[in-house]
Amino acid sequence: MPISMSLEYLLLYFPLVISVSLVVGGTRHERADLVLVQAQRTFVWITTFMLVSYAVLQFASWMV
Amino acid sequence: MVSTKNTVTRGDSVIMADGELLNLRNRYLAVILAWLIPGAGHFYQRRYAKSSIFFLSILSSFALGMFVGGGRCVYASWNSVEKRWQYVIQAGIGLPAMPAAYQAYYGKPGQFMAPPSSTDDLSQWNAETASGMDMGTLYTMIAGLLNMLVMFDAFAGPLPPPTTKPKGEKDSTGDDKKPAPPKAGASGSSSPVAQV
Repeated sequence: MPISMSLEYLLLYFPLVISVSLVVGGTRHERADLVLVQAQRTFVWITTFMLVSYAVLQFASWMV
Repeated sequence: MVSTKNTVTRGDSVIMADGELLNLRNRYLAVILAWLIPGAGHFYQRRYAKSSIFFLSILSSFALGMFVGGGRCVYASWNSVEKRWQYVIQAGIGLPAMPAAYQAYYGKPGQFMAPPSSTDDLSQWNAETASGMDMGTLYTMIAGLLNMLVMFDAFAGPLPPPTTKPKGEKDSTGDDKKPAPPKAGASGSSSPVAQV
């Protein structure tokens, strides 16, 4: 059975990950341009991690 | 304006971050302000850009969590109904979560941030919001945790360790070696402390 989630809850991911990325970037750098670069990296890293986790779980679900 | 003649060490209020001197002013007061209102500590330190980022990011996460959780996911309770350990983390956001502490003692059921009066109440809250109660709790907890990071930043500056001296100035050990040049392709910072 495939793993699924309502689109409404899935959309809630974006404001949270944007907030987390900005705060992490803000606590790593002082200059605004560097804060934004770090935030962008954090966003990509978290999103990639979530997608890989989702793929692994989906695969495990397919195996069962 | 921060004087470049100040001694810059990790323990002082004047540090170097991203190649610029940064005056943290009274760091203890800044931490308290940062806890009370996200971004207030940085505002006190005249770090206005970061203050705005933290204020908007953290409070929007907290507000979104409250919205998803039906306005009931932040409450303090330590009794037979529920041991709400999550509130300890939610309280990291400071004043926005403080009404729950008051309501835990003086609140009446149904009031804003008042705890559930029974397990039936709690079950009903969960049923009404589906998984929104859990999602809201998670969001507000993350907001509290993020503010703890911000408090650290208000106290000690950005997480990469600051250099011990400005460029060209000898430190207490007399070592005047130049800092290592930034790596090619890095984030464009002019200081090695900015590399992550």
